[in-house]
Amino acid sequence: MKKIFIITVMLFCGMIYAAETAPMPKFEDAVSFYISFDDATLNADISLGNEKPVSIIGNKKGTFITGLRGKALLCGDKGTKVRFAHKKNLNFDKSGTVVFFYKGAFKNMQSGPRVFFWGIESNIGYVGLQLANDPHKVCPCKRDLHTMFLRGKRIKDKIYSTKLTAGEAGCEKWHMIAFSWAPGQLSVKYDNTAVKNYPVPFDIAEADFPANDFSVGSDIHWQYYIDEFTVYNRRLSDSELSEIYNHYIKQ
Amino acid sequence: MTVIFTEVETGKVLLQRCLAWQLPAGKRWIAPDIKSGAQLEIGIYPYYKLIRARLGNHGIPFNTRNVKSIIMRVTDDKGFPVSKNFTPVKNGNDGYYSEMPLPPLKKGNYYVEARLKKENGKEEIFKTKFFFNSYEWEHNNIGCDRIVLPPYKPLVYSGNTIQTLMTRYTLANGFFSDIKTGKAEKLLAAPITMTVNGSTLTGSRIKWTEKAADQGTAIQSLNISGLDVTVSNTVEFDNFVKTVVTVKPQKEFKFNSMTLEIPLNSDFAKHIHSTCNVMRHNVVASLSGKQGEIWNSMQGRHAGAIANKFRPYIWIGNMAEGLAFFAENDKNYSRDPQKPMAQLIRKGNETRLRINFVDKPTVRKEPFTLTFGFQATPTRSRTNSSRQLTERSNLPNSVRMSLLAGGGCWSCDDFDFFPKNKDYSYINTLSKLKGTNPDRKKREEIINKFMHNFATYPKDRQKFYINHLDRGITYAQMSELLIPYMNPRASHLRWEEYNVFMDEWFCSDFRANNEDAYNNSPTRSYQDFLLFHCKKLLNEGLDGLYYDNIRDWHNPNTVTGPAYVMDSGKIQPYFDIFDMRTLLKRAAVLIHKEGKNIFDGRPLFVVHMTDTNIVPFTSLGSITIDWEDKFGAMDYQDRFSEDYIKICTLGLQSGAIPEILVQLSGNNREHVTRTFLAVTLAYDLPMVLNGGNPTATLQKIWRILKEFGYGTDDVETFPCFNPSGRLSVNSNNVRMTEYRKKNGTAVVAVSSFGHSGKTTLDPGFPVKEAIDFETGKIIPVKNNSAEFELQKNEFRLILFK
Repeated sequence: MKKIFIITVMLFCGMIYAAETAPMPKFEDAVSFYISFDDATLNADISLGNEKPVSIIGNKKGTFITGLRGKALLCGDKGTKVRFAHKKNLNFDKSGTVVFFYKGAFKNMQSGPRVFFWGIESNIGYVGLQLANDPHKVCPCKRDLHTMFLRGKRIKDKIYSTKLTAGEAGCEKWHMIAFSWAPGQLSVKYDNTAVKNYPVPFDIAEADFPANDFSVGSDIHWQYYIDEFTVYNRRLSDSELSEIYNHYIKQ
Repeated sequence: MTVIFTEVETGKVLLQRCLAWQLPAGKRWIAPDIKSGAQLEIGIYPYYKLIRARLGNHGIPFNTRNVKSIIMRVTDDKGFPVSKNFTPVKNGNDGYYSEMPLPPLKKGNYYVEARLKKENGKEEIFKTKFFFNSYEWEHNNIGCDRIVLPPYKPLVYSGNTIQTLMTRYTLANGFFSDIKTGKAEKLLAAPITMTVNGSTLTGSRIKWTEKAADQGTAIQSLNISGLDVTVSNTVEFDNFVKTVVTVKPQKEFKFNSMTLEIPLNSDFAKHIHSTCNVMRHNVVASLSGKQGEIWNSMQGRHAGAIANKFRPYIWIGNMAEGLAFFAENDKNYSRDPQKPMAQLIRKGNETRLRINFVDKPTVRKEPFTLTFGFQATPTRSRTNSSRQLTERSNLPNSVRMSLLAGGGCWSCDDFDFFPKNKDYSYINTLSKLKGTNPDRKKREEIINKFMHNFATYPKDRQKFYINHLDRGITYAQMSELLIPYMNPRASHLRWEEYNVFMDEWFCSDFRANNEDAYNNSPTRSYQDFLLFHCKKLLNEGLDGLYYDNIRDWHNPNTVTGPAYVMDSGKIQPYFDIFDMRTLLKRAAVLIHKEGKNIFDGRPLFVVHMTDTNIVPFTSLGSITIDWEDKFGAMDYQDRFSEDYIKICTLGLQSGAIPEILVQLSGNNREHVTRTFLAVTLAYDLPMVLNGGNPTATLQKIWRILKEFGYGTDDVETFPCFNPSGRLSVNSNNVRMTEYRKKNGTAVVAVSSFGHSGKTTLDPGFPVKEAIDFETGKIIPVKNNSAEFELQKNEFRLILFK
């Protein structure tokens, strides 16, 4: 009995330990891909497809700092872009949401083009989230967020621009970006502001983005940190996204 | 998780393993009641006194199966109901939808609430917040005066005919049996008719329900067995006709086909312009001379959101003379999406535009309406003196106008309709500065006095506004007339009004919480808001208005227009043609009534329409802007085809004064400037908005021509599309414009459209002397012809004495 008791205690402590080191994202039932960077690796914590990167560009080992609740990954100049398998981790044939947090380290540069966060970077169908390319001499914290569609066979080149409200005051603080797609509509939520909807004449499909991988982070230009990158296999509501924001930021 | 097996007595670790769970692929266990991303979408429509709410949105169904009951209502900020409860209708198994009257509300925050009681006794509440307020500008009648705008004339009625300034419509069988317009004695080869199942509908006596100076309405019943059909045509002073066909089946009626047959005279069916919200890619072309089907509406680009390849606007004509057909969408049509909505079929002297309302057989027993319109062109002409109008220039013999653009030049922020903080002091000052020359110190004083309005902006942004305010002063110096840049398709979330009216203004089916520079419709409330501020700007010293984005635009809003849900569940948007036209008419009437008129009494009103020369819009604007396209280093002959210039740019259909944007780059700006001049001299386009980088040659050439007397009573102008008939030249790739003085002296602008090398020009009258009017050098004359070299795509100005 004593032996059994000791094993049970150890299991229980182990579970608590596991919870502290690898907490689940919100609405975990709908997660198809999640990387927290908390274990200072570039492997996904949750994935329906391959959890390991298919390629790492830039700083191969990654530089990690204290993130929202564990570690966060340095991106931009001297940072890391990680490419993961598209298959099963991301599915445009159904509605979905990409959510992540970023914190600028923009004061390290004086001028430069975009801040790239996530996308499918392909000549046969591109989608990406980035801070605007221009003006180069303006700090990215004052630029719009661009959701870009390029080089698609069916979806015409288009940039959906979202004004970000934090400005200079929020320059080196944590921010949330959520991008959702659903039939006839794209949505962008920044921090806890009301989600902005963009009526679109198309329903995104997997056939629009046939590339085998998607990128998280960047290895060039302005430096920033990325954390809690999550792909959901459904469209999260505005209140659910607010819950995510409050969960991480208030914590 | 770490598992450790330890011997109790010794503490020895027997086994230690670190375990990690890998979630299984594919479906996992999901609680049946788990949220599915549902949110309560709302639309608040103050002018319609309506609230719409929907649960189950954009492909994310909401599970209605275990819902026992649901109500929706409006509550205040504290949750107290301010409306009664409404039971929404189920949307299949995918959600709920409700329409509720908007209750009287004071300023404040409110919620639309959906309260669901589940079978298991639990209650689920969805709430969406909205802000409400009322404003002084609501429901105003600015620009609603029933007047005839100059230079148009009051309508003249005689029997079945109605005469406008340049057109006579004769009504019969519900539509027009004859149209005489401009130089076209007979625009139609045969009467316009409607057919149902191959039978032509014929009409009874026409009844006029209105015969006012500015508009008249004629109603006629059409005969066909099994249907009661009424056609109402409302004709306005600028040739605009709105037609409403009401069809009432006497009992179930099978429609195999239903068409509108518009048989145009082939002499006036040489050009086509058709749009579908694809600005810079619209159909602008010459029509083939062959027989048979020469065009159909499936050809050319269409906006992706539009089903059935519907086209809202088709104009067929020959230079000025022609006929436009337009409709906001295909509501109540029955269409086979594989077939064209419109066909153009040439047969001898007749070119028939056929509109297919029904080409997919359908049975109807309920009444339905078809709403569309016509506009014969030309609607008006221009005066010779209108050639004097210039943009931001100091040339002689000119009416000097300047567009204050960007908006910072008249002290507004972004696309606001009012100056920053509604401080009109800068505008008042600008208006007094016209034609003066304040020194640098005075300019800085003026700017600094206003800049406190931007004091909270970052330094770089303040610099942006300082530069713009300074530029505004520069424009005032060189001008008699100042007009503000405005964008009547813009919205800003920082407008308090927008947070109340966004669901009436932003083009979406439900609330988007978004703002945009293009994606808004000028519905009645938007018109009232915009025009309220326009009136103030005119009263505070500005001389007219400039509206950007005067183009077709589609809107999926089922409250503000005839957008409808198709069988597929998707929305067929509508094009906001009638709302945009109403806005433009109200704005033109406002400007006219404020006394801000030019030349033939037309209001000083600029509409920017690059590639979308939609006559129901441009007939109300006095000046149109084109050529905001194809910027770069190309020769201008390669940027815009001559067909495009004739059909879209010249403004012949609406009698608008054409203005064009110039922007060029590259290492050979002098040559490109000369190609720009070659094209614009040939096509008589003197009014130029400088978008960047033409060389000084542009102003130099126009100074020469204006000092010669261009645009004055002393000089008659014969552009290449309206030649004097006496010039002849040795190449088909040359275009000429003649400027003829009353004393017989003539200047000819000889423009290359591909020709290069030796050029021989006979002016058609005895020549004493020929001079290069640009350089002053003598040009040899042989056999009464001037002989000179012409560079490819450039021009020469030849003065003949």
